[in-house]
Amino acid sequence: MSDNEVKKPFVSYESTHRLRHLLLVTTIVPSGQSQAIIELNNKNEAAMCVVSMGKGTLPPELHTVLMPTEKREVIFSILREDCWPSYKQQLEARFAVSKLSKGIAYTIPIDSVAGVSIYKMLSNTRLFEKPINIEKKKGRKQDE
Amino acid sequence: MNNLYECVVSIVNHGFTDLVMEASRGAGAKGGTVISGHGTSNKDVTDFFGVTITPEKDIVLILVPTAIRDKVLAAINAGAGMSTRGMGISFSLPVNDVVGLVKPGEEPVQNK
Repeated sequence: MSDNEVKKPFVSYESTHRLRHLLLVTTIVPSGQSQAIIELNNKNEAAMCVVSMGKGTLPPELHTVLMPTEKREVIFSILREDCWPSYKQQLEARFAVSKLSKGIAYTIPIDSVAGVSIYKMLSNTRLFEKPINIEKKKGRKQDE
Repeated sequence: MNNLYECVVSIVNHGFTDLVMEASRGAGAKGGTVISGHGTSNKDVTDFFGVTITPEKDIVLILVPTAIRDKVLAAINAGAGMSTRGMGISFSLPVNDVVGLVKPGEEPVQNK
């Protein structure tokens, strides 16, 4: 870099943008249900989904009452906090349909993310998030 | 934040999930889900301590009420901790919200 070029001062992303909290959503459903859950996630703006095969640990006598099979699919997805209520509502409706579609889901809050671009990707805000001009806002307040 | 539930995660050697479930059931947990994993331990550390670490691991996810979290973690540590053949490590994560749990006294969904 030449000496004539002026270094831009570092401006943190959170000082110019409104941050949205992210959640790691874990959905556990009987085997064969993951595709429907992934579609539900995509509908609710989830950036990514990871499906892992698993098995339940319920005693055999409870399988008939709660879940018909021991095989499970665990879906990990990342959702914006504001998308969770609608996803939750749709999940509740789906779980109530029949014993075969039952499952559980829970959210774990994400504290930090490595890099702004990763945050934008995970929060699905690349297209519509615009910087807030804090200086302009301050100026407007002073005029008033 | 005042969470009602916590997710207890236990990473144990492959085939020792029964130890975790027995211990956690004894402490009041209901059920869990097992997924498979693969350990990537540091070779220097294993050489130094003279232990062989089985690379195949099982991960047990158990959702428990926050009130019994410490009891469950202590029970898992005693029943499937590093001093047992399971050689497990356990930790808990805060859970904001839960869907689909059958609460005690509540009727499970009928098959339509």
